[in-house]
Amino acid sequence: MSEATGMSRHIAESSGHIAASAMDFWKRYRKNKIGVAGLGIIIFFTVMAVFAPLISPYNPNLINSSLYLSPPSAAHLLGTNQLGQDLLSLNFYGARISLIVGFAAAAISVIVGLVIGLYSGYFGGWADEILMRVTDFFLVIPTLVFMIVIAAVIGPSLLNVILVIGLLSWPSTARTIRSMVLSIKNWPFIESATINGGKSNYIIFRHIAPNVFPVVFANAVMSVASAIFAQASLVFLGVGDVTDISWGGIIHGAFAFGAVTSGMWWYVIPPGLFIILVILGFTMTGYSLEEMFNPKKRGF
Amino acid sequence: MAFEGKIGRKTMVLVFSAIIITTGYFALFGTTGGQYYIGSPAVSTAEAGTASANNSTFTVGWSGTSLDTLNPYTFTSSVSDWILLDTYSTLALYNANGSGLIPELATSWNINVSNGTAVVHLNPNAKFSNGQPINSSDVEYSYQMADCCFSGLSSYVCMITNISTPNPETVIFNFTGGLFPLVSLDNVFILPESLWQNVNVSSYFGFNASADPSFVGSGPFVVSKYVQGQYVQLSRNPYWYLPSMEPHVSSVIIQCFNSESSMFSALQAGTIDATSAFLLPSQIPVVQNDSSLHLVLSNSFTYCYLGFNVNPSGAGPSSIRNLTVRQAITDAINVSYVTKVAWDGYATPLATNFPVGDSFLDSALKLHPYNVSEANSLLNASGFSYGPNNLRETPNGTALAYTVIVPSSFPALISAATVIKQELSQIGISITISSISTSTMDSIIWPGYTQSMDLWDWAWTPGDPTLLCVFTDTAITTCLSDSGFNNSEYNTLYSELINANSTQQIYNLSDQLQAILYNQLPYLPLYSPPNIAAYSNAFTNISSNFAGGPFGAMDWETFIQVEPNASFGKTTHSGSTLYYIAGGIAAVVVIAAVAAIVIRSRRKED
Amino acid sequence: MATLTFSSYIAKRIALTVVSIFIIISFNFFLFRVLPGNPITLLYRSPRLTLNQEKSLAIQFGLNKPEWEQYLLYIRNALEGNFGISFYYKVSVTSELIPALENSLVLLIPATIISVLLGIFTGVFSAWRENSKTDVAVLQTAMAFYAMPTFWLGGIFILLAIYIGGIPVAGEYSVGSTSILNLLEHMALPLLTLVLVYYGQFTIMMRNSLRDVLSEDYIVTAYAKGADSRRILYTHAVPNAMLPMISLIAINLGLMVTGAILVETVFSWPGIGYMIYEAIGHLDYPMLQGAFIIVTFSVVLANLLADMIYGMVDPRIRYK
Repeated sequence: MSEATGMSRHIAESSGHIAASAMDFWKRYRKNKIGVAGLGIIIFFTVMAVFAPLISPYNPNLINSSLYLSPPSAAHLLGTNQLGQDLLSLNFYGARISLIVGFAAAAISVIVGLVIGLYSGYFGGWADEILMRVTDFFLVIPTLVFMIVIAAVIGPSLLNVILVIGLLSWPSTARTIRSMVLSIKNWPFIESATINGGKSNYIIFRHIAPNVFPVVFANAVMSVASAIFAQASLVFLGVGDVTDISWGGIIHGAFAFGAVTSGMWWYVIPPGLFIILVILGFTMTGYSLEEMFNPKKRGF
Repeated sequence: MAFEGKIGRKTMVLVFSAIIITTGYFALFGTTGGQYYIGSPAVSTAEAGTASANNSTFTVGWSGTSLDTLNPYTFTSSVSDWILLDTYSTLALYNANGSGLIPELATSWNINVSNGTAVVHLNPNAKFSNGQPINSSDVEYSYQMADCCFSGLSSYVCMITNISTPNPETVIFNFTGGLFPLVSLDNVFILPESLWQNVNVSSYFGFNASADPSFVGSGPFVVSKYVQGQYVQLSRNPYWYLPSMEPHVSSVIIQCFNSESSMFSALQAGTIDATSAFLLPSQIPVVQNDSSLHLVLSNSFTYCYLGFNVNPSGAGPSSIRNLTVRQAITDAINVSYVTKVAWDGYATPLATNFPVGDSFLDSALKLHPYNVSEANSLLNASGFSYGPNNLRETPNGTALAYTVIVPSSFPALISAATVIKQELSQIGISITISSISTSTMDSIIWPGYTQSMDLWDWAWTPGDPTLLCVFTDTAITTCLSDSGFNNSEYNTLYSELINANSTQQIYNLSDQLQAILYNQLPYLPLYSPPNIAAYSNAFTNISSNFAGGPFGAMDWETFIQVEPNASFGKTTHSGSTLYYIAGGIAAVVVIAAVAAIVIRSRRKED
Repeated sequence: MATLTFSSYIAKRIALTVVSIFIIISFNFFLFRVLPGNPITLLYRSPRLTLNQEKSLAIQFGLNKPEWEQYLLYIRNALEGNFGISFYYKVSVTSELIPALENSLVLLIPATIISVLLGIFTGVFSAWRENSKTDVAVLQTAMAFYAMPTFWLGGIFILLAIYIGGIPVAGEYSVGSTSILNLLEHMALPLLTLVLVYYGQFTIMMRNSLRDVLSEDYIVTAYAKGADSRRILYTHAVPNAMLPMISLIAINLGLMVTGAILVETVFSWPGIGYMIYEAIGHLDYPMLQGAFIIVTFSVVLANLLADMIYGMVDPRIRYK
């Protein structure tokens, strides 16, 4: 998905002098309220995912035939699903899949986007033209349809969903990186390295890559949000593994078992709120990072 | 702030509010429309109920596979079948449980199975909906077309060897075997030869012009409007010839929905008068608590099963081909419990491979007893001892770990799979559930039988024993048999069934075939899901005699019998007013919030 | 001179569009060929299916021919705008898809216009008061809506609609009705869902774009010279900030289509997204191919249009 495009377009002009230490970085980041709030949300859900077994009142796999879609009660704060499983615990555990898919798919898309962007921008010419046409193609096609079809072909396992999302989400990163490389490669030290006969790969990965890294980082954070959204949509549509515990899967269940039309708000609202919060967390963090790494904006 | 925008702010607030109001307006607009259009069928019925029953429309929702075509030879969806049942005559109609026939186009028939002849006398008054008489040549034509290679009805007529028409009111069939009286008279739709001979029937999907032959029928209703994939409107056939089966409503609309939920909400909103029988257990209490709705619970003509890949030449795990393993799995699965969890107690557990209520179901077969220790001792005795990870292994060291494929569109089956997974873990067998589209299942099963087990269902017309053909060796080549079961005794008995020359013999053979399946376990039958439907108070006289209930698409009587409820008072949709108020409040809140933000920011800046 | 460059720019864009369209058509063929399963046995999963019937269906749908022949036939037909016969509905795909496309546009065009307008105004508002509480509040609201899963928001509206009662939550019209009021009332919830989910991204884009412009030297200079700030905003800043919005809106049309699939599925809106969802279930290749092509064409053409408008209104682009 290409949500990140709109927000990350300034980065093209961003310079590379963000080699400041982590401490310095944090000092600056701390001043950004939106960013700190976003980071807080991410930490909150990461803790939820890691400690799900500790904070969940029940084993989410526990089936109870006498609790078919029961409403909230003291024992089950969010009621139970069609298998009598505790919805609160399912929602806690759901954070795991969302974050795993989010991070893994974002990693794939950023790596692919980075490599394509670097080569395309550095070499230019025909390679660039072809790579950019391919990128345009992927930017333009309705990604979700494409994801559905591919997932139907290769099967719905978690790994496949990660691959599908990761391999279809790189175009916006590639475009951003390319336009950055176009300006970086004209810097004097890169030009001199080229003239002195430095190997292309060495120059690309040693000199250019570190300079685009901050932007890649901001982009990656945004990609996590897109990936989480894509995974939830796929599972909701019944593509992807609905037996894995995930928020999208819980919403799918709420629709499939008639909870929505039977007014069971406790089934459908919490997983949606969690998705919103976690996507908001990543979007806010990514947005703040972009603002920081765009020096032109600082001071205004 | 670099810029001061005292004046610009006002304008922006104005425009911003205007947009909010516009958006809200769309929501609100529904209200004005609602008073006129929402629930119009119900309102018009209420008036009709007291005035005249002849001017009423019964709208029923359909959430199953959507309507594909109304070509009687090439349709596949059951809703098409349902519509065709009431828009075309058949020679005879099956009764509620499929055990006998009652006359429709034929007034009487004389069947001699031992010499393979049937003499059928047609109703001399019968007419098509265009006023032309129905005579024996139309019957002959319809049966001939049903036997063509493109026809989905061919299995009902393939045993017919000759058809002759000595006069316009008599048809004589010659046939072989004993199935003719069971399936041939009640399944072939009679259509007008004079109109259909002008079109290429195999590729005719019609409904583009009002002159289409599909708009001429021979049943109590006739198709009057057809919107692909959305709805079909049936009106009374002005030339309908059976006074005993005269419909009570002037038209019936069958509207397609993409999910049970959207159909159910349409019923709640009053846009439809009844739902098809695919409601979910979660909706039962909602219907029961709504005094304007009636609940109909019935047996369905569907059964769900756990299929084992026993194909000797398939690529499935060899341990599943071992009968002992299948017996152990069967012992370890509590079918009653699986059934209870999957459908909240509304489904019926099954011991054999026929939907509950079918006349061919062998009630002598009982559920396999649930016995975990028996399962463990069976496996121990055959050398399937425990290996690492608390998993049993075959004597040559392969773990008993299987993948069960389940259609992702069948949520209750996924629930069943989850229970089965937990039950089998008790005997050291590990299950991975793979919920995939039916097309992916298709691609896993038929090219090479690579699956271990599958959960799926069969839906079938009641009283037709040919459902048993899915376990024959020919079913492997026609991509029907997901188990790949190939048993020579079974194949022989099945061909005897096809060629039997008495109904009693067919029943006996069917019981023997079911006994083989019960012992050899290509399938572990699980349950017949319930058919759950609801209809509104505005209509009455809805009987649930048929398998599948009044809205299960297997009956021909619902649309004929349904009539407006005379005692049903006019209801006002109080909801609309509430909607108005809620929309208004929402708009006010949004505007107030915007105003508050603006005022706050101004205060801060000033 | 400028005109010449402009027309060559347009010519280049058109050439690229044609190439993209050809790639899409070819790609499309192979994409749906790799879908698993045999559409015929799947569609007719019934003990009644005979081998004869299976064969005659394969011939009817051209599935018995070798792949390359199917491909050539497909390209030829696609160029004629003929996407074949739907496996499931057994009528011409085009005759099914054109009304579906119309239905989708009925929903998508107002949704896009309203969300872009709403996005622009909230964005201007936000940028104008950068870093104030108003800015944070507007930005946070926009982000929150932007983060909402479309299908979930739709589900919540259905939940509310049923609780309140009397609001249609499925379909485009009541059966048999063609009144505009009936359409509007069916459209209310899907439209509201789409607008709320999509206006947020336009807010953020507009805010960023306007902030850039506001920091440009000429604006700062104009302000320093004491020009009326409102005049600066409306006559210089906003129009300039709108320029990048044009291409961003075009790029995001693909995203709107995604949203449309989810919203149409949730609200059973008989549009193209709903057709796609159904066709996947029926393994209806021709329908999927047709729908996919129509959707991608629309997005590609919208992008071309945006490029042309951009080229016309922004003189700088001509010299690139």
